[in-house]
Amino acid sequence: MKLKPLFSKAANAAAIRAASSGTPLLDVDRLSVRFGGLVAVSELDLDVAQGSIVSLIGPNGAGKTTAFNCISGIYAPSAGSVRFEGRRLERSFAASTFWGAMGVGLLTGLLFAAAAVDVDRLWLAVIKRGMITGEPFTIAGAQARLRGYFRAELAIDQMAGKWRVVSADGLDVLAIKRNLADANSLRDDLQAAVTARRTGPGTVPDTSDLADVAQKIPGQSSVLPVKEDVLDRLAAGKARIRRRGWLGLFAGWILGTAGTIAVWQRGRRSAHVVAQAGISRTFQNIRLFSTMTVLENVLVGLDRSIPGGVFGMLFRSPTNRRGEKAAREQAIEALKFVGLAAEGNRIAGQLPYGDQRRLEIARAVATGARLILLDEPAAGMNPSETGELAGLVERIRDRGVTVLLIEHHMNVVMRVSDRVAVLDHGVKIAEGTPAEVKRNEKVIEAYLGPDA
Amino acid sequence: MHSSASSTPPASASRRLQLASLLRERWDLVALGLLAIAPLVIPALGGALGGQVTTLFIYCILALGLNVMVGYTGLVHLGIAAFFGIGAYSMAILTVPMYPFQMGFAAAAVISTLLAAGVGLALGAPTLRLRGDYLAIVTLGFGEVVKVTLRNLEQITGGMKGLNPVPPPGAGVTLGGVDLGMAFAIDPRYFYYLSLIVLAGVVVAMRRLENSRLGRAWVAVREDELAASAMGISATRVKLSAFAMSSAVAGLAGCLYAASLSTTADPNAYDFNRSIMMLCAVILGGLGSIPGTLLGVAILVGFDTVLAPWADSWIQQMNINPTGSSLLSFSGWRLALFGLALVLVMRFRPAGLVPSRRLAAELHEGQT
Amino acid sequence: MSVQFFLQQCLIGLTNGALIALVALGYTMVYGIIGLINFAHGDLIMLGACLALSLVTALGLATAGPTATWLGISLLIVLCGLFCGTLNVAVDRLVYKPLRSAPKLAPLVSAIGVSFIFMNMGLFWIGSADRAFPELLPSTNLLPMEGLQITWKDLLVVIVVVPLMVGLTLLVQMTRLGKAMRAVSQDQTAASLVGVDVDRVIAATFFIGGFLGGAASVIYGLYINTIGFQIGFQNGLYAFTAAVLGGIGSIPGAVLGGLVIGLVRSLSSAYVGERWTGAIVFAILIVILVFRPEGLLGRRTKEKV
Repeated sequence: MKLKPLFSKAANAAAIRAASSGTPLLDVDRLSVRFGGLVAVSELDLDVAQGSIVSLIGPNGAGKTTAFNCISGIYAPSAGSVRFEGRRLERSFAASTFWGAMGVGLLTGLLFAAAAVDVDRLWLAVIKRGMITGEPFTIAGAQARLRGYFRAELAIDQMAGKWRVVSADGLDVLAIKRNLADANSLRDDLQAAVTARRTGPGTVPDTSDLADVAQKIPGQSSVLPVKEDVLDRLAAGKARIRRRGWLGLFAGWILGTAGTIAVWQRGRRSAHVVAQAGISRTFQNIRLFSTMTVLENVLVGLDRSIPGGVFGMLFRSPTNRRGEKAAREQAIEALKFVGLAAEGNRIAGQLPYGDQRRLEIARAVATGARLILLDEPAAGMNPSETGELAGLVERIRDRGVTVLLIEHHMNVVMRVSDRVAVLDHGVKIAEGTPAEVKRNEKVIEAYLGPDA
Repeated sequence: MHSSASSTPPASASRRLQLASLLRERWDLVALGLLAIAPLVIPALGGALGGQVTTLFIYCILALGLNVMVGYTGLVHLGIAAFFGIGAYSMAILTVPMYPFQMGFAAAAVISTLLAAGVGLALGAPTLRLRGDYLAIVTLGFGEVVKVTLRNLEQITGGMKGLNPVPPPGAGVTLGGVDLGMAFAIDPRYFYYLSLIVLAGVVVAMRRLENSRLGRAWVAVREDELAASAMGISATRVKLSAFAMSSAVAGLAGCLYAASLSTTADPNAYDFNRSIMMLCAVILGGLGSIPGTLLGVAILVGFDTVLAPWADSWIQQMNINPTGSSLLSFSGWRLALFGLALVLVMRFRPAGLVPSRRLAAELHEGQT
Repeated sequence: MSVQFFLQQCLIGLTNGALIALVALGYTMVYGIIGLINFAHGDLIMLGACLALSLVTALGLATAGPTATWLGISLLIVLCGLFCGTLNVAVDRLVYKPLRSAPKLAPLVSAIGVSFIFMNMGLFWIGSADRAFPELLPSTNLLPMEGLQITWKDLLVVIVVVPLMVGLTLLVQMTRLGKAMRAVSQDQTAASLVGVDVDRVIAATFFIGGFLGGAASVIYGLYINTIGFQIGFQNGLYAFTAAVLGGIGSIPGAVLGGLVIGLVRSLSSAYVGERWTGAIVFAILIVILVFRPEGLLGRRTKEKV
């Protein structure tokens, strides 16, 4: 098994190399699918050449549809690989995935940190308090208050003509003084006392503690109007709030990143990735959008061809309008191609059975896929419809689209196929041109039993 | 359906048919016209009634937002009120005089709408891959988280008091000699027209989305997620866009709500009950159907604000209930009647009162 | 905060969780079999609690001796179980059954409607104010320890819940009915083709879910000691969350989910604050679902193509 390319650019280069070196369009390599103990497909090898029609046949329960589901990204294979134009069909871990995970991690981290440092008090300290004390709101002031909150600095504010010494969020009023100078000096004393409590054995004062107040020697015999336990609480509060903030940021970051990776991992092999790479399909038990009109069904297939974002759609931008118009024309063309041009405005669920099958084909063709997987397109059709269908499959090939077909009507298979692969109990028992397969004894045995 | 083809209907009947088809096809213009003239004709709309109708319009916007997710995309959303609340509170925080932002109405509305959409994205991104009913419980849970948060962050949201006063739109702007802020504050008809215009805008936007790439992708994912993704549509991205659009419209409705009441009211205005009422309105009216949604809201709100008080006062007038027992008052039975109505409508019209044309076609097909 | 305090909170959490799990079973069974979020289940239990309260008053259990009390409690559990079970089946017959082939959301709205009707019934039954449920069991500590206590109330929860859950598991795993229930939950059409009476199986499921809910309502009254007509929503919400957390449709999942939710609730009430409990429970739910989208014990379902 080759190493998977890490970035999508490398993958593109690989695709170009593969295309030029004559690699098959679709390369299924030792594909196995197990459901619990049941082996549905075992070590299937299958090459589909560009521009050919390849049929996958076999008795019921041979694992044909399971193989289809693996190729189209609906099931994940248990082992083996599927390559299309030389590339594995899964989303690679691109740089954008990395930055996305980091970004989500950061956002989650900030959210957690906000919860951990008590965003309510933070808001009070940074935004609301400025409004209460009546000072004009400036970014610099808000920044200063934000710093103050995390450093648990004491602040001074004015209320009713008096000066109060308060904690950073203003909830603790420590003292009230008549003039500013007294208040300032008291604030410095208190701050120093708080810092002193933090500079006990084993703690190192950081720069914020030293800023312009810590020079004062604590215990200068001036009696502080605050109880010891309040000072203790203020001293502890600073360390706690920082610790909690960092812890929240870190925990949230881990969780957010891990979550993004988990979600990405789950979605990396999904049907739309395969479809966007250029493989489209129909379903054995017709899966139309049954309450939409026939035309709308085909337009869904053309979804990616229409440019413009939400605002383009809301304001009907010229780009969007042109895109819609072009898509509509293409959709009508696709309907003409399968012979449903007159039914465009009917509700898809109300079409007769055969028309529903053809509509599914039109929808698949409209996606502009380079490989189309048809899962029993002729099921339930009468002989004349079957004949038309065989013609339709050939016309798809003539458009330059490669077809991989599951079919039980042998006359269709024998008429259209360039190559036929036969599956029995999940194992490929024969492959070759229709004529070769028809003569193969293993195939006859699989279909008719050992006695025939 | 089949009988009319055989005989030509008489002229009067055909005129009646024309009128009916006019009502059916252009109900929107007819309704808009009537609603636009109403305040000029009905003086009561200049009073308390005007405020009530404004609230009705706002709920209609909210329900249309919910309809994107539940109706078009088929995802059960039990927490739309949370986004309504986010819109209202963000509007209030950006405009109330007690905070330093004090923005104008339009700027605040745009920011709040985008914020609600962003929160929707943030919630949706990790959870939209969940199976339908798991998603329902996540949205329900998120609704509770938002309510609890709004109640508990007292410094930011004002706790149970809410935030007020939210200034009216155009405060301080004078237009043609009229102080718009004052006009909005005094005459409910200004808000009536404002929310009518926004509602009409939302209806037009929804129509356009319905008939565009995104709308088709929404319905396709609802109809058959697997087939849609096999056509190259990223189901997650489509659902995410529906989630964001729903949240944005709900947020916009929240902005109008806060502005028209000039307060956010208390967080209980954004609880599960509101979400469930809106969900019932959307389903009752008909999933994915714009007229259905509007009708659903009108019926539910009408039941609460018009029928219930009227019936109570009637019972009092007729002196049926002299002892004041709750068994004999209409409000005593309010919940049960409401519940019974939901059950009966679902029993006899499971696709809603005005099913969307697509859904109606399918059901018709199912019966034949 | 001491280790004992932590253990005590865990104990409270587990007891609460067992109660939540009993309610969650009702949600998970109905969901497993017809894919309906039975919104009315919480309010059904509220009605069960109303009946329990009326019966306690009628039988005069508040003043009875110990033997009579225990007999009375057993009787209450059986009667309320039968009441809730029968009511649940009746609702299924009248409301949900006609909607089996309707669009998926129609039964959901009907269930919401039924929940409103139940709430109104509860309002008439016990009035709009909260009512005290008499303390029938002594709250003496059974453990010879300070700081850590187990009362008869806690024990009651275990005595009732564990046998019910074991019984339910045996029923689903061993009996014909259980086999039929599992068959119907996998594929209704196929089950009916091999001769399973689907309607009867669904009715049985509703009955069992309702019976467990009725038992839960009695224990709720005895354990929490306050009931009101609005308890259905809040408790239903937690129970439904538990069912989803464990993997909806899975019976052991509902039990595990209930225990987890109970623990998270009691621990967050003790260490973070009661007022944040709701937010924390749902935040944890969202986080768990991001990493395990099918719930803790749910099976990953593969869509048939």
